[in-house]
Amino acid sequence: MIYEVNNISFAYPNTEKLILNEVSFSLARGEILSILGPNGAGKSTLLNCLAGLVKPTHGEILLDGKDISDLPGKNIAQKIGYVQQAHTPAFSYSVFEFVLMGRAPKISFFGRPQKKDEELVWQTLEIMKITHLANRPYTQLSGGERQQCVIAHVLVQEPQAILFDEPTASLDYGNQARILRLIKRLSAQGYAIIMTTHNPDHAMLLGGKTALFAQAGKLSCGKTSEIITEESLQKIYHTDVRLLYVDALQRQACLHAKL
Amino acid sequence: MIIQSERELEHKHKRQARLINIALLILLFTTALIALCIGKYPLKPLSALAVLFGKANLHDVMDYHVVLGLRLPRIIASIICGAALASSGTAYQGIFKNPLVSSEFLGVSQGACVGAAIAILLSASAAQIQLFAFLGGLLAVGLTLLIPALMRNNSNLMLVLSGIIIGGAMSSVLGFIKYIADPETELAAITYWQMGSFSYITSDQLASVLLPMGLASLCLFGLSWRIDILSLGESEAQTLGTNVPLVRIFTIICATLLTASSVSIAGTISWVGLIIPHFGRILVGTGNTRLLPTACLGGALFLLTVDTVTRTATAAEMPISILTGLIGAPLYAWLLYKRRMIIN
Amino acid sequence: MLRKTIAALLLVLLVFTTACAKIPQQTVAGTVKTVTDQAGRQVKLPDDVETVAMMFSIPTSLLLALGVGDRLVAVGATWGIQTLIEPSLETIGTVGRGQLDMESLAAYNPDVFLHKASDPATLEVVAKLGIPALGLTTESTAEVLEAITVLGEVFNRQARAAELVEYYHSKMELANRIVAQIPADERKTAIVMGSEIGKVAGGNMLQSFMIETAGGINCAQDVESQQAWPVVGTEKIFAWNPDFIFCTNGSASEYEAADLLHDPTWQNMNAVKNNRVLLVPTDKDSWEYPSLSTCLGFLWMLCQMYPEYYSEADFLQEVDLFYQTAYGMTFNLEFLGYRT
Repeated sequence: MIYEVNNISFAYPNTEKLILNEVSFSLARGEILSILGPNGAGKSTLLNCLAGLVKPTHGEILLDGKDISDLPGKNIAQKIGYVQQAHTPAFSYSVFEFVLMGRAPKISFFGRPQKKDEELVWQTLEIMKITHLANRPYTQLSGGERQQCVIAHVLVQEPQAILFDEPTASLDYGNQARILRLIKRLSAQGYAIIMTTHNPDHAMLLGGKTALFAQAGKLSCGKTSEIITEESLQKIYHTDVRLLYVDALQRQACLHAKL
Repeated sequence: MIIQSERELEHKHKRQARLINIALLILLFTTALIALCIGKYPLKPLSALAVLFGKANLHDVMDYHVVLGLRLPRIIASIICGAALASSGTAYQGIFKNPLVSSEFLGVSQGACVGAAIAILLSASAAQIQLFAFLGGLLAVGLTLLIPALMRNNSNLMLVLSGIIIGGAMSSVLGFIKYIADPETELAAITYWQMGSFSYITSDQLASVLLPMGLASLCLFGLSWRIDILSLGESEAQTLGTNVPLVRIFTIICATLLTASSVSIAGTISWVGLIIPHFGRILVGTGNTRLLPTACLGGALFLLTVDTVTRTATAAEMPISILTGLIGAPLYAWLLYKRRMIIN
Repeated sequence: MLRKTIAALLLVLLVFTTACAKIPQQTVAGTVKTVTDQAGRQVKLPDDVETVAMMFSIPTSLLLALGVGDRLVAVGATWGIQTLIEPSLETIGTVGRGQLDMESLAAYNPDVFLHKASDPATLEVVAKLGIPALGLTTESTAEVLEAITVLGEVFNRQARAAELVEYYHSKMELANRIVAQIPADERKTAIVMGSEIGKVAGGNMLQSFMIETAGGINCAQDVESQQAWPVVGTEKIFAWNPDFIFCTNGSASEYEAADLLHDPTWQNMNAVKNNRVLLVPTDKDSWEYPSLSTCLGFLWMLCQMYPEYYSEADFLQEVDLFYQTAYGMTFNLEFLGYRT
């Protein structure tokens, strides 16, 4: 198990409201966990806990069997890659420079990347098929290209698990599919994947596990096909949602019933 | 095919950056030699070089005094101050991910003056004055960072405004200290310290700042890649396993030490720390590993040139800040115009 | 590669810095004498000081009085009668105004550099250049007279310096004799106002000494300030309500005496009511600027405040005598800009 999450709760300092309430789940390498939930349910907070950016108020998160709160940031970063929601950096680094920064957890405080780090970046760019972007300023990329670069940036970290915070948000339809395909491929390569999304269909496309934020920070977690039901979705989104088996696609799809 | 050419392009950029640095270095040396040969004291250029390399006859002692006692220390001072200001500006811009700041816009220079003034009031030694200047600079930048933190507003503009507030407050404190100081002894010392000038520079002063400046700039060079990572943003840097507070404090200490040392020999010189990094980015790109050396050399070249002009061009020497301001302000406006898309 | 470059650069800078320190020692030609300047420093000088440079202007009149004006090679500014006394000042050079231009100074390479004793940093820097730097201070009459004595030693004009000091003392005695006849209840109050309305000469200033020597009472006597010309403000001056307001004659003044006389808010002031707001003479040679001319300044104040004890006619005789004694020539009053 790469992740074992045991009964974690989280509340912001000086507030009563539990954003996370006794959340537990575990994840092995090669597994995908999609996290669904309405806006403000605590999806990002959960990811930040899992990335070690914030500490849960109660409970423990074991990363490879070790309590994450005991690990120095560098050790966490060597195991976990975190793709945060798109941001624009203040300076226009080239894609190559930006991806190379993913090597940071492997490099000493006063150090800088060596030849072998650069080589790994070139290989990763090639695998991601974005070598042609290498010398473009990162700030001038389209949304889809930028997301690919961020993923390459996380991959050169050589993590075991990758966290995605709404990776398909603000991407066009084609790019959404491309990123999901990439995520699926990464999980097949053995990365443990945890991803938040607003689209239940994306969770169903990816399969694996799903966690659903019900009321008051409670999380129900299990196989996607068991967790995503018409009732559970209607309960969290308060709208009429249908799960239909589409013969032509040979899969279940999630659709709005009507407006 | 594409793979090869993209790699080649990347290598080319790297090679170009190195070539630019070498070119700047050669230019800097040439300018320094030229600067050594010109001045109001009538001396043939060749005799100046002869004095430098110890080949001149000892006949006219004043030649030695002018070349080794006046011009050389002054040239070295303008080089190291230019380098220090430009590299501290680059570092501040990097860690605050804000291309609109530099030591004088964060209140650091003013804080250093206040620290030095207090030390003078306490009749401290020269080394203590330098230490107080450094601490004053640290205090100022700390206060400047405090305001956006208290307002929970992380925007570039907020930091700039905060810098203006703290800089203004520090100037007033300095004014007050000067008001209560004894005009015969303390006031003169404070004014002398604050105004600073390359024209009274001595080799002792140079020797006293070379070590802290050298150490601080070596540390900054070592940290340059970490500064890149910090400039991505705090949480991004954290997920990359970077100890954000440590890198930030370390960088601030080094950059402030550089600024305070520079202020201690030449007073507050504006604009160098702000515009040189931008020119560096145009020349070699954004990455601090390449940018810092270029900014260093560029700042040195800029200040050396400006100082040489001020000391030779007019009959009565004008303060160097006049010229840096006259050049810096319009250049900065032009840069803002050119790069407005990127800043947006 | 980068770190090596930086390390190499630092090394080069260090080597050059040590080179700066390795300047051969100046060998002063001829015999040498040591003079203690007014900053308390021991200054080694050639026996025969033939060239003088300075950035400030105060010592010019003292050098002219000592008869060594022709040895000046660079000064801050000259004005008025100075160029008439020493025509070479007309085309004299400069070593900077406000900020010393070290290379110009090196180019002149004078035998001595005169500077304010309150700026030891500049004195030291110049001394390092191998040019003897002498500190002078002229904040009070005693200091002005001391400066003349020191300069007398520098130029081997000790006898002349003693003669000038003696003359000045004799004028102080003259004033003292006359003032002694004035009853205490007839004493007038006065202030000397600086370049801005509200700035006055405090008790520790030369101008205060002039009022007192002339038998007046300086209202600002107790103003203790470390700054020259402390700002007390108009209200304080109204409260003092002095009998006389003497205005400095600097061209930098931001007001004119006439402005006060016609300002309605000032009309109730004693000095204004009695038309006793007076500009200290004169345009061509200031009588309240640190120099020997201050003896004319206090005698003039004396005849203005107590004409019944010392008439203006008596005073005017002193004017020619002074210029004859100090500079060996006289100037007519109209030329000097004296208003009767």
